[in-house]
Amino acid sequence: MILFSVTKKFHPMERKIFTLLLLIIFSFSTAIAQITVTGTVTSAEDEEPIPGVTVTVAGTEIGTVTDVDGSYSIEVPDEDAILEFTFVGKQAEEVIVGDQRTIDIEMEPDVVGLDEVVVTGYGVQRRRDLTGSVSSVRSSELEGMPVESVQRAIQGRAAGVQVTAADGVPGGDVSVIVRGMGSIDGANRPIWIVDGVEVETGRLGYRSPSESILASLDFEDIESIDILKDAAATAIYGARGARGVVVVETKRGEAAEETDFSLDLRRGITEPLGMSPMMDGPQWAQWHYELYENRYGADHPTTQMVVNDIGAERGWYEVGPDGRPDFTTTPHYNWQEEAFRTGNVYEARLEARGGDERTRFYTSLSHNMTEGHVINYDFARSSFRMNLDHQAHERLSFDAQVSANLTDQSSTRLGGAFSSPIVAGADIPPVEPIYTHQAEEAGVAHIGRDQDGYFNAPRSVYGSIPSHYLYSAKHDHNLVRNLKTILNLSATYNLTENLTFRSTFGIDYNHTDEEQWYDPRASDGMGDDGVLRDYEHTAYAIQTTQTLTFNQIFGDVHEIDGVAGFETWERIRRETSVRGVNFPNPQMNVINAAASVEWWAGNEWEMATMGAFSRLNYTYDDRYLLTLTGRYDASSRFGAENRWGFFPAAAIGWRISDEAFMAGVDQVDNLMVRLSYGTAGSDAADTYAALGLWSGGVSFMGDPGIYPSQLPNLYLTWEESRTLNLAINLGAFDGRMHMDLELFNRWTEELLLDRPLPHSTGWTTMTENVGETLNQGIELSLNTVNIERENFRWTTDFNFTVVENEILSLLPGEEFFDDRTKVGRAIDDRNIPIYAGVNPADGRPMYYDKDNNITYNPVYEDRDWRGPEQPTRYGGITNEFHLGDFSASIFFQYSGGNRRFMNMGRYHFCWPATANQYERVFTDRWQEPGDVTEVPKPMSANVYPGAVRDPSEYSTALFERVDYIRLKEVSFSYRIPQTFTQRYGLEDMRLFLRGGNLLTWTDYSEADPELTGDDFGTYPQGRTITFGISTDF
Amino acid sequence: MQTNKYLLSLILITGLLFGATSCEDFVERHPRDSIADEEALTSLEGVESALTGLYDRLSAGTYNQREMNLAGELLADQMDIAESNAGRMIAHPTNEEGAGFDLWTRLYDDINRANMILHHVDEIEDAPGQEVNQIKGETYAFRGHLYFDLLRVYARPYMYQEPLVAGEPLGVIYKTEPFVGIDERTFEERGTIEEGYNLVLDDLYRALDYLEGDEGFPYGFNEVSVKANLARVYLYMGNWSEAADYAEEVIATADVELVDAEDGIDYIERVFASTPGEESILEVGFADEAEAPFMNTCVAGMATYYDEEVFEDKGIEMPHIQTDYEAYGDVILRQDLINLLREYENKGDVRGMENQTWYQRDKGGQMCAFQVKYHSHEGVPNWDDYILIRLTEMYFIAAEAHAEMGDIPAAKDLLMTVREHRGIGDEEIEANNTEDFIDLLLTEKRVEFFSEMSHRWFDLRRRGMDIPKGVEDDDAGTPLDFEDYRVVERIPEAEISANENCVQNPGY
Repeated sequence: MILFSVTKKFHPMERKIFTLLLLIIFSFSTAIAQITVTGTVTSAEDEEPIPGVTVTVAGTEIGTVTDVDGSYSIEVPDEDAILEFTFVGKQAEEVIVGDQRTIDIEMEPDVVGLDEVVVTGYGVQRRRDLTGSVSSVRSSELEGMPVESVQRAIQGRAAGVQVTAADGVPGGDVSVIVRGMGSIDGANRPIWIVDGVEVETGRLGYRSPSESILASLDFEDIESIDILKDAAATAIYGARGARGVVVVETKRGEAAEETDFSLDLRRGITEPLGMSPMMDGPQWAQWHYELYENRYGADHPTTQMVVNDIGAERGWYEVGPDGRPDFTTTPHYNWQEEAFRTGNVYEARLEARGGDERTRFYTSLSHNMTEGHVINYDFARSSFRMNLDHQAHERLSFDAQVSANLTDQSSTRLGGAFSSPIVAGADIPPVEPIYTHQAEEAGVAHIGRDQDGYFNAPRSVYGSIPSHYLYSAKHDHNLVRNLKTILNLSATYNLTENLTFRSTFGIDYNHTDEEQWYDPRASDGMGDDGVLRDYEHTAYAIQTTQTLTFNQIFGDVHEIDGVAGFETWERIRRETSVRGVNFPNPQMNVINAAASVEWWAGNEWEMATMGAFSRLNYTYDDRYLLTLTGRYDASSRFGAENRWGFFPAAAIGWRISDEAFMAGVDQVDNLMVRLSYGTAGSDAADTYAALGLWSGGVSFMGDPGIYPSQLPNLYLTWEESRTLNLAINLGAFDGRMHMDLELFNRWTEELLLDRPLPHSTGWTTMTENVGETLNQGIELSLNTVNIERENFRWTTDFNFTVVENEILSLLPGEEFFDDRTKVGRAIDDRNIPIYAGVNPADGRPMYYDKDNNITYNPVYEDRDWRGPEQPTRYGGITNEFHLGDFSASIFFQYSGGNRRFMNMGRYHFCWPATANQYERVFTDRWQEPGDVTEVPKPMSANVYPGAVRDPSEYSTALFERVDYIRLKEVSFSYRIPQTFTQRYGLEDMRLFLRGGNLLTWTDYSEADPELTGDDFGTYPQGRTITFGISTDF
Repeated sequence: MQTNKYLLSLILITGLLFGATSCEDFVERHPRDSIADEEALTSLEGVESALTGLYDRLSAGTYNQREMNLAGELLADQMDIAESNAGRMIAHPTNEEGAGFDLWTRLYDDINRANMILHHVDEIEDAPGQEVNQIKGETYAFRGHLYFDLLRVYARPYMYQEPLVAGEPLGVIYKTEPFVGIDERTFEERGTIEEGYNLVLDDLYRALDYLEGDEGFPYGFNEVSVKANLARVYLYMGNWSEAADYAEEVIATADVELVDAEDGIDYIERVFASTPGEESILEVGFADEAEAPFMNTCVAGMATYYDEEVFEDKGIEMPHIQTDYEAYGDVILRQDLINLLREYENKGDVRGMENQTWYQRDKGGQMCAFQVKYHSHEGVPNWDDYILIRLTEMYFIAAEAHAEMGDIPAAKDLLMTVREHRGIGDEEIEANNTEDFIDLLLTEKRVEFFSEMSHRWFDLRRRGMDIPKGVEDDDAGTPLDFEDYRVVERIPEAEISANENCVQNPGY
């Protein structure tokens, strides 16, 4: 056999495992005589035939679909065969063939998807038969979501799946973490498998503030998202399954007499969720004056110099006869407001599906245009997809999924303070005019001019080059273009009735093109007469997967099915970049126009993995379930001595509801207890982490040189996660209630950790496998049909997750790694000085020392651990109401247990210089003895008596809890009566109105509690209102 | 039949996909910008390019520019930060804890590279002995130079070793073998200062054994620059006779002479901007503009910021201004140094204010003037050589050594030679004892070497003198006591936390 030709190159041990896997497969494959069954499938509601229903023989790949009359014909191996009928929105049906040759089925509407099919690794399973932990999101939940990426669409909808973002940038990066972080230095994100192909998810570029390749996918092409969580579910992905696996399947064609078209048009507006309230002009001028008055006294020459030579000179106020500033004369210029605008979203989407019994297709074309609610931020996405299924022969079928997705993102420079609308908008003192009229005549310094007038040169904020972000925004640009193409071709061959061979070849091609332009007229490009940075990145992965799927039922009660396979995956990434300066004219802004090219770079990285895997499911009488999974995997990232790893898992399930003693309990439809244990790996090390390397690219006096760039580690190997999972599934009241409760422990060992070395060795760190972490959690999901009437339906989906992690060990004998990492604390904890507010007597900022006494100058030992930064509890609740042609849904999302560092606060919370400050720094400031407040007395240079620690420095004053509940989405939809639509030849037409991020309950003082990560110039999320119209014809 | 056709093609395609690779090869991947450890240093070419890579480290703006040319000047009484400063080196002028030289990590990285070269060079088969000797000589000299910089930053001065608290006078950690993996040698203790200076001398003398002539002079280590280094090391050790001997030997043998002050000479141009500088003994150069570190001049802040208005206020006429120049302008000269330069200028000294090079730049609407001692080669921004040792220093070393040995006339002769070449040869030296002469010499060194290699800081330190601080700002007026713990640099926390055997310097 073909597979054996490969095994020649395996080590003896590997060959043994391989042979064993194959033997398992073949021992169950036997040829049996055929029986033909025919029938018709109709809808129980209206008794109309349903075309496109999938009819399969349970546990096999044998299957067909009903034709336009709802009829089907299928060959089954024997009379023990079970026929399964599945269709979107209908409850699956199962019938034992027995002596029947005609089986007609009426399908009931799906209640809460108890019998839905779940896509697990390399196969599908009915949800009720799952032994592993899988959270699912279905296409119906994704439709028309007012978000622009698939990650945001699943936020709050799946237990154990935490979706957070560092900002709200359109097309920006959104992190999905399954059951909490487990790794300290390595990756914590799951892998994504789209139609069987592992795809690139992060970012390739550097210059955008936030960007995600996944944002290029049109999530409305998605049929299902299944998130594999425990080892029983992920071990089949072996080396890369440890952080969870997100399995995405896109929509497929359906056989139908006529091709179905659907056109969606959407129009939305967004407003920033909020901005940090800053001082207005008079407040700021007074605060600024008090800095000096409090330090020196009103009549001191320094204070007088500030008042007369700076304040009055620059028009911040007039000076009264007493020599004091008159703040009633202070102007207010709202720099912050200028950074924001009303955002717009436009989306058009056309999809078509159809085909006949042999060839089915699904195709879609969509375009999204988003104008962000911060100036200069725009996003556009064009997406195309074609999915084809073809039955070449009764035993052979092909399927192909092709998609091309283009995104175009525009933003301002990454981390750039002076030119960033968000940073500069909040920083620039509100007493500085935005525009200066007749600047030239008046001899006032200005940055430049256009039709709006002269752009005033504001007094520099951090003592550096004055800049005007509006002026920069008009001239600079920062563009990122992504092309993501996923190609996937598979062939499926039914070798026997019990054995199916499938071969998949997939390509994931990603190209990112970045262009950053600093115009010679604006501050960032002025010094160099224009700066252009161009980056080109490509990353492509090629994957081949071969699987054998088998099933067998013995004596009515023993059902065995499984899959075995072999996979290779290789990824090549290339990058070239160039920086040119000195442009003759701002209109000429490509590298060819640069007078000099200052800097260029180019490199290539390769990595590869391969592995053999198998999963075996055994069910006894539908009551006792057993799953065994294993994968033997190799990754090029690891040392030659430790490159291969084996990842096994086992799971058992007991369906209590099918036991005789439960026979009398009619209310319970399904009660199952599951237990699983197993391991999966993570290879999230640097591409060549194990190799000792000398690199080039350096020279001295023209001679090329080399330098040692990496220490070798031949023993470097996988991070390994062991998961113990206990779950209870309960279905009751005729499918009207379904509950999943899961408890898990996940130990991650052999952490890929950058171990600090004494710098005297010549090295700073060395990547090693050391340390252990533990994640513990509870997940609850509850789906109920609260009211089910002829014309009214109310359902509730609720999920809640508690997950905490802890570092169990680090380096041998070491408790402490750095200020984020300590044994016994969470992975993303922080060791931080503890702020104690202000001394009511004199307005000095106070801190707690290690004995909980007040100190003014906390030392390192006084710090305490406050964290973590990732939420430890989160969830969502969705209520849906259907009343005739009208439906509504309300979705609340909750998250908490974490803190966030307000990095902007370091410049806005008592920063003793020129930047604008939070409004509360003015309103809550200490003014006289007895004032109890968090905000100290204004003081120039923060020189309080007694070497007091600067309040704008890193401490808990700026590290707040961020629990919140958010009304994430409300939507209404109305279906226009068909009597009306059909008059115009339309099958169906729906109108909907959706609102996103409508209300938030939180104590967090910055704009948006939902975001994680340090808050510095963060693009806020938007409050969105979307109107849409969806037409089927 | 049809079935077979399909099946056959499927099998063929799958077989092709598999057959193309073998398992172990498939997961064996190598980078294209690097080579594996085991191949890198097994040939002479490999070792030579590793040595080139090591030389390249001297050219980093963060070593011989920001740290060596600026940090010490700010810590001493030469420079201050500009009022308009973007936050760079702002804690240096007030000698705040933690502000100072940041060299530990960098220098040990370089030392480890030198150790790798020395470790591998003897293992190369069929290598011509002369080439091997050249590599060994340069590498030993290099390592000695690096350890000397480490010692004068992180340990107390050789002549004042007594620690602030009881115990051995601690030097630094001494590594002479490359790091190959974690073992007990990874966590080494600090040795004594005596051991450190012995190691430096040992390396320099070994270099002399292997090196012949002045190959590559003044770029790179050769007989002359090693001897110049020896003169420096002996001066720091207070070994006056050896210091004088080596300094005078360099003066006699080096293929450079002091630039003569004649009417209209462009002193700055000839000594600093020409390539190589006309007085250079050890210089770091760049083949072209591209090789120079990006933004090197401004990152290093060599540019000195001065406000045009201040010039006018102080009645100083704006010297000749050159074209636009790219610089942050975070650092200025201290007023008393400006006064000193002005005083020398009035005497006709070419080192005076008038002869420094000035650049002008629009700083956000405000025109500022920058003084740049090393201005760019051929007018190309950033393309400046760094001069590590130049001939004048040898005259100062010899003069100081002779004065210390009581031979004031010899010392005066040497200093007078310098003065003659700077245009003030007609001025008598009014110092007739060692103490007066040294005072005068140190003052003259401030003028000669400002913003060069932190000479001022190291001179005060090695001689056990208090560090005078600024004159105007009331917060910084008190001199820094020589016994203050901050005179010895803090060892980075990363070393202390990773290496429990490494003791922190007292006070930190």
